[in-house]
Amino acid sequence: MADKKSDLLQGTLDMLILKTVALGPIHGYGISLRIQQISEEVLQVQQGSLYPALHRLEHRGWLTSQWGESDNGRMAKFYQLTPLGETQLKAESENWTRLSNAVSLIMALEGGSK
Amino acid sequence: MIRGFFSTLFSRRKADQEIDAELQFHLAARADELRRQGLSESGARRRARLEFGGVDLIAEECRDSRPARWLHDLLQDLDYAWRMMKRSPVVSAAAVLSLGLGIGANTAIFSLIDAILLRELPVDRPGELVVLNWQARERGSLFKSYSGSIRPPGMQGNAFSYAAFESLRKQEQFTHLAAYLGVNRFSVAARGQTNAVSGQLVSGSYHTLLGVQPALGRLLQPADDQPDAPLAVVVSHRFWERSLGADPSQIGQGLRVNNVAATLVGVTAPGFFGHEVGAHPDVTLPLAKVRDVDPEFFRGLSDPFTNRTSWAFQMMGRLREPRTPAGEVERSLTPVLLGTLDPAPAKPGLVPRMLVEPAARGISGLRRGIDATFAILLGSTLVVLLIASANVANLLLARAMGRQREIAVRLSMGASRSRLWRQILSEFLLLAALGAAASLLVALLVPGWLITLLPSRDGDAASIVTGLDWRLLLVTSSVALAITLVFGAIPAWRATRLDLSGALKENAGSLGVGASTARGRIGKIMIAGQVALCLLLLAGAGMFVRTLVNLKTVELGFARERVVLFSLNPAQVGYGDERRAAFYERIVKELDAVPGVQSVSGSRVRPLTGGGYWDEVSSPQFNLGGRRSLGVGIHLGLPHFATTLGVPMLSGRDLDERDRANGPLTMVVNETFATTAFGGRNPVGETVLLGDRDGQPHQIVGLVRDARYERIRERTPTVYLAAAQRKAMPEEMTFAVRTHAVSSALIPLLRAAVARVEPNIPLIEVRTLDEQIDDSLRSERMYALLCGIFALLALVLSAVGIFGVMAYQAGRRRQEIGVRLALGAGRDRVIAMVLRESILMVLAGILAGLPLAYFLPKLMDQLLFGLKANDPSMFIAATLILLVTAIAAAWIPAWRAARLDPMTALRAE
Repeated sequence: MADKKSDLLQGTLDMLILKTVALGPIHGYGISLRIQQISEEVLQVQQGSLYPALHRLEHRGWLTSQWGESDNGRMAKFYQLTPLGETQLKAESENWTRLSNAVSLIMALEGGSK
Repeated sequence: MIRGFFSTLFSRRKADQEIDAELQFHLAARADELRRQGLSESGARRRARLEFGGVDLIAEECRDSRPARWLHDLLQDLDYAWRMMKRSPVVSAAAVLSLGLGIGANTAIFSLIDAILLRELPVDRPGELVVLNWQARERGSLFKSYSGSIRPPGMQGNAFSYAAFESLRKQEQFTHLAAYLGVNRFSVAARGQTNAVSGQLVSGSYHTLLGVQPALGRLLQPADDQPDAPLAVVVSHRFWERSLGADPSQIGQGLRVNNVAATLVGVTAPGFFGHEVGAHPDVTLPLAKVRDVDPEFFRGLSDPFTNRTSWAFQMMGRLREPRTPAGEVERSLTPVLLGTLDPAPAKPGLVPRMLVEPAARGISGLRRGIDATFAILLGSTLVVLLIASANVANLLLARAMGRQREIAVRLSMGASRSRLWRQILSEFLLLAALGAAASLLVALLVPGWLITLLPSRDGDAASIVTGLDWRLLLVTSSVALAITLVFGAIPAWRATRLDLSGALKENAGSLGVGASTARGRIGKIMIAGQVALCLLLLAGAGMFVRTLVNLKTVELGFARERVVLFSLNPAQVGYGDERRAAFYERIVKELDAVPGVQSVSGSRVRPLTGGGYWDEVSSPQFNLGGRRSLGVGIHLGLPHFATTLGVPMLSGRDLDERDRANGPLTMVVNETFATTAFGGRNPVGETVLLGDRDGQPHQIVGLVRDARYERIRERTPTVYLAAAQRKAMPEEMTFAVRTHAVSSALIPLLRAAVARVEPNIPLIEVRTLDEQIDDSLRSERMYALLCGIFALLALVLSAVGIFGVMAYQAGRRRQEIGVRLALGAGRDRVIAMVLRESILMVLAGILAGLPLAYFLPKLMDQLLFGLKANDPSMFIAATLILLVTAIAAAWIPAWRAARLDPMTALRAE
């Protein structure tokens, strides 16, 4: 029952979702909106990736879900971070920070290879 | 994880709805947003949907991201299959029933094989047990007397001298080694009743070797196995229940074994039957007491415990290192055996070596020669299973073709072929699984009955335990799976190999002629295959039935009615050689005096058990084309034997009281003897020599008609001799009592007559001659009965198959038939058209089956009787039966087709 391999992009999406959900219970539509807003429209999450990712994360035990009423009065599925998910988020953000710092350091070099 | 797995599995449907609801919420929320931005209601919804992409696709991906996907698919497929089944309950039930019978027949036979060949002994750690045998490259004399089995290759035997046992048991390879004699019959007197029961003499270590526990009292110990120890007896749990009233206070009580006082010391654990499958010794006695209990066992030998040329002891041991290769153990034990040979073997080819064979499953006389039986039974049941499976394949093929449009649509929408395969396979799997479940019922009920059909002495095989075990369940489920993969593949392959555009272009319900005929071809090929197999079974069953009938109606040469048989073994209860002649004489006298008795005689061999021995008869007058001597069957009996059995005298007189021990030697011969040796001339009055070397002159005093007295199948030159004129009276005698009328009241009178001579002797196997003849036909009856049942089953299943295919074909051709009818074709022509198709299909099968069936009589030659080689009658009969079946099975579809209303048929589209 091995889960599908996570490539970098997918791993990043997972992290973004976890981070977004960490701010408080939120439904799938809300997640896509929030990522879009916070990233100032740079990141746009495809529905086709978002929902399977949510289900995958829920199955891994990083998210739990609950049905509740949304702002517009409709019933929506709200996701919440589990303790396991918090640990995972922490690990992933540390990893990300290290990685992006490393990339920044390299990219910050003056001059060029030319 | 496991819990998550199952909860996801079972809340599947709910989960699917949730995913749907979640995605719908997304769409609705996005539409709200767009509306706020000024789009119209419908525009907003359309836009939201466009942005979102394929809802179903995403839902599918969500499901995919969860575990247990394949299982979910399987359950979905099974659910679908179940709904398909429910839609046509009768057809589905028929499919399940036929698979149930097909699998069940196999399971039942396998259960029998399991019980006889595969099951381990119910003893402690059976895997460590080995049985010891020896083997010499050539045949020759290694011993003076031998009691055990000897078989090829070379000379292979299971009995050793006592000296060999004593040396071998000291070897460190064994933790225990026990010796025993073959299972024998003993007369046991307990609680005022004397019965003949099976029993065994074993060394003191036997029960310890097997690690069996007593249910009561204690088991045998080395201290019991001493010549001067008091006689201790251990009985089986079965015997304690049946003959001792399950009374615990019987332990320590006295009983008499072969008229010797003994003490019952214990009862073995329930379910323990010793080391021989199919034998069930009720009494177990210490080997050292054989001199007291069964003095006749080692007749004519000096002490068998010291005489190294008397081999009679079989051995079983427990290996200290069970993983040591058998070859290594054998190599280290062979010198030990050689050290006990006295004198040393005359030729190098005679030098024996040890054979150590695993005995976890015990030993069994039933296993000898049963391979052929099992091969025939398994072969037949396999054929039945193939026929049943082909039916189900045909059914699913018809169903799948009915869904051809749906399948085509799904394929063109991108459904994978493997998904469709799985779906059709799971339909088969569901039917097979239900069939397998039904088959377990058959497997529970039938094998017990099968065992009663097996030929075995005293019906001892009935002690064999059958029943469900893991092997049986494994075999049943493997069979179900195997037929699913093989026969499920046919419709799956055919249904997914579609010309998509063609199938889609067709109108619903009326498929392209191409697809229809292709499906029809596969269906018809399967029917032809079924018919070919069915022909084999029918012909085989016919031959077995004919054999049984031939054997039952063969001219026996004696009068089978109104004769009661029973055996007495006076030697066992203490009558030595010198006293037996008088004993038999008194028994005959007492029996003669019983009212209702016409005449009494006895013979050394029980009729129709194939016993007896051969000897050579010679005479200078013999006309044998060069040879001077003739091998003849010897029949040793009491006076008036031929007359009592009702064998017609052709000339001279029967043996009677005049043929005494000290009188002139005489014999009576049969017709075949007279024809073979004297060219048909009346031999009465002639004198011939009996015995191959120092032949003794015997005068022929009578000529009788041939009687198939020892074996029904043979007519051999036979010589009747007076037992009184032999060196010693036989130890056991089977008495034949001809009466005016056999009634149940007579038997107690016969018992009382015997008891007046000797109260402590049991009557062994009391039955009528008729029953004895029937009993001798046990295996023939079993073959006829079982193969008959299988053939009938195959025929019915084939008929169902033919019916199914013809009904399907007729349904497919509704329009064509409608057109024909509308154009004026007669209804009888329509009927003829459908029937012709069915007959052609069956004829093809018969043609395919006949060459195979041709080899049947050659394969089964040993089992048949009275059938001429290449006798075509069975094949003609089978062919006729199949043709009639073809017509009968196609009749209803044909009749229905002919009754079509052309207008309805044409308007159906």
